[in-house]
Amino acid sequence: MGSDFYIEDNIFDGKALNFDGTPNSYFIPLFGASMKFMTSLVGVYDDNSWKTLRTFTWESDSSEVDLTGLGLSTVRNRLSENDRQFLINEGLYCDAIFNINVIDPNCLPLDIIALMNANGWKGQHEDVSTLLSLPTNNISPNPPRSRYSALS
Amino acid sequence: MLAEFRPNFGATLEQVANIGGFDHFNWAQYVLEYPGFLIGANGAIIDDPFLTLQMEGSFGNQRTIYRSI
Repeated sequence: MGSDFYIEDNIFDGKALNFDGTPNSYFIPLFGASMKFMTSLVGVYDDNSWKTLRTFTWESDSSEVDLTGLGLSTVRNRLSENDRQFLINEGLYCDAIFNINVIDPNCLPLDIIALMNANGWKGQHEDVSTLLSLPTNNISPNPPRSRYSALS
Repeated sequence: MLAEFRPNFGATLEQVANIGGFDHFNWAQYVLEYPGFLIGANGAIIDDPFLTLQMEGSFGNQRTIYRSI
């Protein structure tokens, strides 16, 4: 697993490119909400424009963030397992990746497509299946997996 | 979230990138929804959606900012 922000640290033997995202939000326990993401494997051209090859959306309600600066105390590493389980059962604290779905980026809302275009997106690759056989089933959530839904 | 792109048949990323006319591969990630707010490196509140590749500020302990794209 890569450990830093640089792509070179996430390439292994020149044969694998890893994605490692572990977002947290201290607003999660306050609002009971989740963070929603769209992640794409992209092919980058020499001019830094890029095409999407595979795109998936996912959500996380991880709140593994030190809240001491706010005077709160729901810090994961301070909780006993019993307390953590209690909070999960109460819907107050979950720490999970869920709702994973492979999508067609062409079907995204126009504001997101506009943002992608502004960031150098050149569209979805025309025929990925003839170019690559991508192991989409290698997409996996971090544990716990209790709310994991299979790829569509 | 962990994901891996590994070309089939033992091909290297560089070989497959060349086939597709790419310089290299990367991951692009957009934050579609986020509770509360985020503060960017310039001190301004960041609206969603946004592309994490271009984000300079901190975002929890997220590790998806591959800057050499």
